Amino acid sequence: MRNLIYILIITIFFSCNKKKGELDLCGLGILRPYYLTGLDYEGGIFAIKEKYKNEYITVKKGQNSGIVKIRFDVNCKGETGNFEFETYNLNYELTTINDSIVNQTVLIARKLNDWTSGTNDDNENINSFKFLAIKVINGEIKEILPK
Amino acid sequence: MIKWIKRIILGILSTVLILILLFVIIKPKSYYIINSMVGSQMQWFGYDKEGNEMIEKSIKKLKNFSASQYHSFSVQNTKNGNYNKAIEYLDKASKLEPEEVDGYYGWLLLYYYRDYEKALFHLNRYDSFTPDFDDYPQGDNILFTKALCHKGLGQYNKALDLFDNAIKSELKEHDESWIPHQVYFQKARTLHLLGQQKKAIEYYDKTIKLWDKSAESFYYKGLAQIEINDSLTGRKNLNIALDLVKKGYKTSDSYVALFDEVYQMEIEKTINEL
Repeated sequence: MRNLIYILIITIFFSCNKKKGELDLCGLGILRPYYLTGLDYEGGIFAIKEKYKNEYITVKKGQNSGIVKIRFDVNCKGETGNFEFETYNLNYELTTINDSIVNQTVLIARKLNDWTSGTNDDNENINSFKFLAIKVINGEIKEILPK
Repeated sequence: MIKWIKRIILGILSTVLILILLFVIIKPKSYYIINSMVGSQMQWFGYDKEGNEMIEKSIKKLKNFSASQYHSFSVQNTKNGNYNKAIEYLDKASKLEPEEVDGYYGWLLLYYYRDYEKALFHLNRYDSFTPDFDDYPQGDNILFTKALCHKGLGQYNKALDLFDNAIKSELKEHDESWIPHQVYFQKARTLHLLGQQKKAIEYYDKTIKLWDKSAESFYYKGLAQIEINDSLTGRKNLNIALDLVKKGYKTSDSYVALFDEVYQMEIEKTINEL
């Protein structure tokens, strides 16, 4: 019974939950999480870290420690869009941090353009969503997670 | 015939009415439990906002969820990057049953959050509940996870002591072949970070003896050899590492980057810059 309820609700959501925004999503616009589709970036997290290492400029003023979580969609062609962000302090509470940190980290995420789209069970390219969490301490990037 | 049709219609209507009364108006405890479970399942499929709303509504109504339920609500929030929710739920779970939750919590903070100090707090507390037994949070020897925390904090000597204790702990019951290759690899990395290249190479070799496809061990061994002017052998090992990675041999995880994980692009860059 419980499984039946899960399936029913998930089916309803899959069939009607479409996201409209700056990115052309493929097919019905259904998005699946990165961990179910095998969404990948050319060069892996190493390449992403290199991009941030080369482009991010340390911010020495204001509230300059915390975590910027950037969530975005990657369509079946590997194009990105619909960027959203949330910022946390180092105790994982929602907070605001220096605009320059947020703007830079989101802008660099927007420039990541070597995504290999995720696939479904039939090996067809599909839409995925992904997040990156950038941990910044005293204005410097210390970690980029999850992978 | 008409009488039976009337009875069937009345029966269906009454059932619908009872269900509406039960699940829309009265909403018993089981409704909120199912609601929270459905919410958690929806998060697995990526609908974290909707899923979290269902979970939060259930928590507000019931207020007495168990530690394992809070733990379960936290898992998908970590995977979807909702760190505030993930930590809020794990804090609740850990407050309720630290002896059950702290192992996972410490392990998670180490690998998924790289929050070494907080991870150590939970791992140490977890370890203290069973002082005569070496626990295995999420399959890792607890001494190894604590060593990784100290390594992350730059406390390399303390990390080395703990790596050694983890090796001793493994050898209590089994021979050397049972030691996870990551234990030797991380000990090697720590020695390498301390500038003890020769000793580090010894432990990279021990790792390779346990798993001869460990691309990360060949890569860092190659670097250590180049650092002590054994460039020819070092280059050879970098090329072995590259070959292994191209064939898909390296240590990795589906969700999170591992410590000192190597990438094809990284090895190629190093070789090109030599």
